[in-house]
Amino acid sequence: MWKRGLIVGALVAAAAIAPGCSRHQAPAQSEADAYKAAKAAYYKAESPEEKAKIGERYLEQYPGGAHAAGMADLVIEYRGKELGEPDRAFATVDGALQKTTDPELRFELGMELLPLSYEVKKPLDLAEITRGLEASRPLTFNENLDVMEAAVKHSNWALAQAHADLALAQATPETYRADHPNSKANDAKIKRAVNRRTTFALAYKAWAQFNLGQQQEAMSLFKQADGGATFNYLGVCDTPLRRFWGEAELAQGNWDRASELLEPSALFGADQAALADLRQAYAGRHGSEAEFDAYLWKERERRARKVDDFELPDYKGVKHALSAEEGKVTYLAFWFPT
Amino acid sequence: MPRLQPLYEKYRDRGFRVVAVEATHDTETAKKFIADKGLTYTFLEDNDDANVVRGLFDVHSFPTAYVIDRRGKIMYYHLGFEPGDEKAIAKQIETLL
Repeated sequence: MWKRGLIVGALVAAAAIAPGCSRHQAPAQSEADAYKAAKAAYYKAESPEEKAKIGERYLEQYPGGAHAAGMADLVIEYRGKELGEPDRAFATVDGALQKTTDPELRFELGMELLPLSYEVKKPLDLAEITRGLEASRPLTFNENLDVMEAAVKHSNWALAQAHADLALAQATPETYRADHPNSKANDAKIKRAVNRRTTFALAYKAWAQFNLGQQQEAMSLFKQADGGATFNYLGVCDTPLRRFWGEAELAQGNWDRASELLEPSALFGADQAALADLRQAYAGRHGSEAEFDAYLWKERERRARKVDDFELPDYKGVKHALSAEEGKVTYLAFWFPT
Repeated sequence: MPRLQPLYEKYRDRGFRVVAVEATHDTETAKKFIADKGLTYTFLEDNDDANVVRGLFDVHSFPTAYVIDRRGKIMYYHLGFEPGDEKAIAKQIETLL
């Protein structure tokens, strides 16, 4: 969830300022200096150990600091994942969470820590974290989406459904405009964005309903939601709708229907979960997985989209058309330097 | 991006190419990066008129990559690049060569 790129991408090459004696400085000033110093140190840091320590030092000094969630992300990523010390990472971030009373920060830190908390078998209470923030203000659409996503991951269907209903109420042009006050989007673009919000919310609502035993209602809600489904360049549904619907059909043993719904994201969405589901549907249909790879290949060939041609200059100003070297196998990458 | 260089060198003589399109017009940083890492495959720069990345391909998460066969069909998709992905990509390239 946290955009570590914010730290990396918005670098300020500030001189490392030692926090100094905080008794003589207003706390906010010290935290800002500490964060500046942390960013500068991160820019220079090379090892995961150094990067983890930057986050750990900040959280030790400023557990309730404005940048705690980003620093928690450093600790979780580098101490927890890369250095393989998840328990230690959990202890650090949970320690900071315990010292934080601000509901906004508790929510951010809690959401950041949630996956790791499950990994180390000390699961945080997602409902409690969410209620804390809701006591001070309603969640935004994106926050509701984050909660739905986490709730579904940890099978908290009632919570997922509750937040899907909240999100559905926020699928209006007025709410969208209020959430994006500086947006210059025209009515058509806003209509599309609102439609996407609706589809997201309905997908989660239907999936929660299905798992709460209301299968008939869920199936008809999936069908309804599919009317507004949108797809990316590769024909993959750009909300979880078809993946959830596919899993529902799979649970009911409808192998053909499940395959149809799951194929695009399994083949062209780099979705390992959908691929595993597709394998299950295949085995259900054929009684064995023996020819699954051959089937995958055949489906890829059948569904693959031909890439659009385009022409762009290289860094010497020479124009290149993608089609100029047709006949080659191409790895086409879209990137930006960090 | 640097992890694509060994793949490029290994397969280029068998009819493989890498085309990298930079999405943010950060020309100087990109040029420095390419030079620093010694990357020799094709680098192109997008612009607002062509609007290839966000307009034509509707890409908003980076890095996004397509593995395209000899007929121009997009056979595989990659989002992000974790260590070890090179092995999977090499396998995909070999199936298409």
